[in-house]
Amino acid sequence: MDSLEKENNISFYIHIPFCQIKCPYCDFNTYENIENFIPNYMKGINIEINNWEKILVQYNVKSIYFGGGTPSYIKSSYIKEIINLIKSKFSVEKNPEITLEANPVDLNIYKLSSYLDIGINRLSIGIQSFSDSLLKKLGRNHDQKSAIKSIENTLKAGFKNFNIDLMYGIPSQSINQWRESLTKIKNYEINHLSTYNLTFEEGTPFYHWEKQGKLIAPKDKKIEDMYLLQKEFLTEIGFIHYEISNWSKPKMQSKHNLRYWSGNHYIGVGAGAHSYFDNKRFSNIKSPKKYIEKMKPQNINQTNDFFKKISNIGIIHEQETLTQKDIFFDRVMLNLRLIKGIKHQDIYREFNINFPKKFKHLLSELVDLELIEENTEITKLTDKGILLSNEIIMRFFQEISKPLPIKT
Amino acid sequence: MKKQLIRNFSIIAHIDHGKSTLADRLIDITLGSSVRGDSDQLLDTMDLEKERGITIKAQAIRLNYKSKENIDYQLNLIDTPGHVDFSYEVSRALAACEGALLLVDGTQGIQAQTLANIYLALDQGVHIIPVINKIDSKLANPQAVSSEIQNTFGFKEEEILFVSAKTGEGVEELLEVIVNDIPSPKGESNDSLQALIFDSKYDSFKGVLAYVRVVNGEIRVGSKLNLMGTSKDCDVLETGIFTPHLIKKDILSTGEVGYIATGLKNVRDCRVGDTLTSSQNPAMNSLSGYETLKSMVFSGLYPVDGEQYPNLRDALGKLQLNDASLIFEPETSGALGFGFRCGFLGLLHMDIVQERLEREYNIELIGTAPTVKYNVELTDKSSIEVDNPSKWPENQKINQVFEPWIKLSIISPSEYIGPITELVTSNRGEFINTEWIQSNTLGSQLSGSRVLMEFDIPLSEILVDFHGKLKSCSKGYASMDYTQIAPRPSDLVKLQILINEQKVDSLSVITHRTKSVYMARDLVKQLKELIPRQMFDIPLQGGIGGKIIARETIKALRKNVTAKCYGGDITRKRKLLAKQSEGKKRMKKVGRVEVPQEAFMSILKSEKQD
Repeated sequence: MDSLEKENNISFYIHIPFCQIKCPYCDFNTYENIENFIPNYMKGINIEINNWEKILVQYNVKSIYFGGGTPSYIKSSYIKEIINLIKSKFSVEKNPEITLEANPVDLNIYKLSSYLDIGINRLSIGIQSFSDSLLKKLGRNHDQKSAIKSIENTLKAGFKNFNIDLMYGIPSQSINQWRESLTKIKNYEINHLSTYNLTFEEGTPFYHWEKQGKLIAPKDKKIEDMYLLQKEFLTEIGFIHYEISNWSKPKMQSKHNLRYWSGNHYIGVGAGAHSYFDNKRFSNIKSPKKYIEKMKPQNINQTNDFFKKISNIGIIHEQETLTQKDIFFDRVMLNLRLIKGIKHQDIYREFNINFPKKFKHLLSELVDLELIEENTEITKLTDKGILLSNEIIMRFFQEISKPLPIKT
Repeated sequence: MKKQLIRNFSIIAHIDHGKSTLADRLIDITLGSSVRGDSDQLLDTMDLEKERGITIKAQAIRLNYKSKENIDYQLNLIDTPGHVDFSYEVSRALAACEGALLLVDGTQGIQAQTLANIYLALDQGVHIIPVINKIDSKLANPQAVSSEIQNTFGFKEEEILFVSAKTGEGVEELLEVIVNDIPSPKGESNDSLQALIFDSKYDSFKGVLAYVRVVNGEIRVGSKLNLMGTSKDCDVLETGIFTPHLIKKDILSTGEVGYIATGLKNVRDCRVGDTLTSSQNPAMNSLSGYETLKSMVFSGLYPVDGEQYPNLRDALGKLQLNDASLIFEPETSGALGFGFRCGFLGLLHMDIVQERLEREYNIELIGTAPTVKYNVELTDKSSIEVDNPSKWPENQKINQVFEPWIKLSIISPSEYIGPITELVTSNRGEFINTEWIQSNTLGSQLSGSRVLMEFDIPLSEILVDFHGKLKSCSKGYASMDYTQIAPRPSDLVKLQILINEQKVDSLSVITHRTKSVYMARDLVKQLKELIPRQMFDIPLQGGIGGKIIARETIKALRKNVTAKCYGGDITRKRKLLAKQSEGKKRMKKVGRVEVPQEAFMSILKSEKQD
């Protein structure tokens, strides 16, 4: 993936905000008990995709990603309709990566084969854990048995390219439980893994329970141990660590997600979906109900200014136009999340910044602390640095936004 | 006005004993309450004065009083600052008077500043009228306080007046006693001019206004004057009196109190205690008692936001226009950047200056630990004055150090003698004397068992947290006051604080060798609480010379990582990190360690004293 391609490539993210149950740690824009919205919501998605047709005439679609929520929760005919629409309205790369997020309980053999039929070629399965007690704690609607069944079904259906999500740092989770979950991976031909450190996001029940002392977050030391354990374990069984929370077998990285981390453009479709296009980051209104109300065919306004066109529909929730500094900072932040790190030459070509020179003092300090590794071509985080990546990114932020020295 | 009909007086009192309220009542009765309008404590003009209930600047007001015998008197009330830091100003205000009202709170009795003030008044030889205030309060025990005053100062029962400044009870009688008992001014109108400056203030239209008492001779508009202490010349651009607004007069005659617009640009040329005389016909001698004020307490002031440095410089300059006792010079600190080393008369003065800078000039400040001025005799027999730990010479170059000492007077109920003595002696104080403050009234809770304790103690020992500890070990009852005594030789060392093996000048302190280990441990412990964990272990050390005597370690942060960062998270994450790093921007850098400002401020923070 070349981050420096002249951006006439684009990706679509389609947000499906429906879940059978909302998990108590989840802070995504997703809802339970609004299944009656599904038909109209999917109509809205169709309209929004149509709106982009004229704007993206020159663009080549590289990947499509159905995220949520639980895209596997809705009928696959809805998904099919959208894939077909995108293929008919835009120029789409020959074998685009098309990913769909799925819950284990939805993955029966029929659904899986229909996914293959409609062009889904990658799945991301929310396994989270192979321990029944932890799954219960997480409020998931599946157990160990159904998790394993879903993996077996996925393989049986013929998927080679799929991801499973696993979580560590769950309250009460022991190092051994984490090791057991990882060991299960060994038994199957799994090519991609996302391992997330559970965060207590503000506004979620987990956040409040922690505040009230009903849940106890594991100590940093334990998280560090779990991180190091997975690093050792997954490396040994052939996984390559390529992003802070992502691992894959060779050549099996998520192309879609890599585009986020490389600073490429994407269009988010659906309630609360985020886009990055033409130096703007913007997001849709979060409420599916309001999204449905606004997303009517008659609202489409013909104008050449793409952003005016979208804003006129009234579905923009937040938007910002990035300064060159913002774009640069985003790039540093996102590239540092990639294990291969920042390529100095890319930064020089795109921003005309000599990275090692501009951050000379900071880099030598961070090298000293064994938080980064640096050579003439790249700057990357060490394992110690990954665990402190926010601190390091903040240091870069401070450097970038440093005021001029004052005169006295 | 004939000088026989002039009465010049001050009110002296411990803080909160009702000085400003009594002044308000005297104004109401003599000038009518319309003069004051809605403004309470008329003579406290600064917000800070009103809020803290203290007077910082001396003020004066002329009251016209028709006595019971129908005689019109001119009363000049000079309001004095009510704190030990300003005792020189108090003494000059008293020198401008023939009388003083010694005001004592009927609920509290004699307090430390009552004593300090009466000594100043006795030194000046003014007529003292003892007045017991707050007699309307249920908590008051006027008889016991009266007995205390009789026993302690030797007044006769019939000399003591009882008032309620709040309700006005007894205040008319007090006015009669003022005109009957306070002597009229002496002085010769035909002699050469001698006028005592008891305060001065800068006015942007009129230049420096000198507040004066004409002792001999007279002052006319247009005449040329000479300041005998500073040898500066000035013109009488305008002269007049305070009502409290300035009212122009052509002439200030012998015995009168008023102001002169001098045209001078700098209050430092017009110092409190100096004598004004006529340039053409100068007096032979200046009035006695003139001293140049010396700073007693020093501290570095730094703007929290480095870009505010020029504003801080301007603000200090403006404060200095009206405050000749404030001194400052630029200072640089590795950790805190550019700031000023400032000298103050005392802790209250320091607090007031800091608070005015923050409040009136909107400059957030970091003040380093206050220090005193040491006289250091070097091995080469020369000697230097050190008011800044960063200027402390190397140990082997020091022959002997002299440090300022004070005589500390504490008045307290007798049950706290133990804890107070413990507090003072644990701070290197020496016990000198205890005297019982006696009251003849039987069964009086108030003053039956109160004592005046006297100690000698190094000034530096009371700079930090002493007043607060005194209050807490006496349930708030003890009051203190002090006067300077001769400096004494002392075994002092410079305690260096090292953060991540780097010396931090702004955190170093001068301390007695015997206290250094305890202090070093305490300091590094406090720092450990104040400095957040960072990406590496941070050793905190306290040392003297090359020797480390205390050590703590802030363990490295292990984890701060965002698990997920996909399309929707990018803006949010950038903003979050931007906000957090904005917070870090306010921290000061010591090498690679980010140190919050509180570390510099909380450590060895001088207590708020009032």
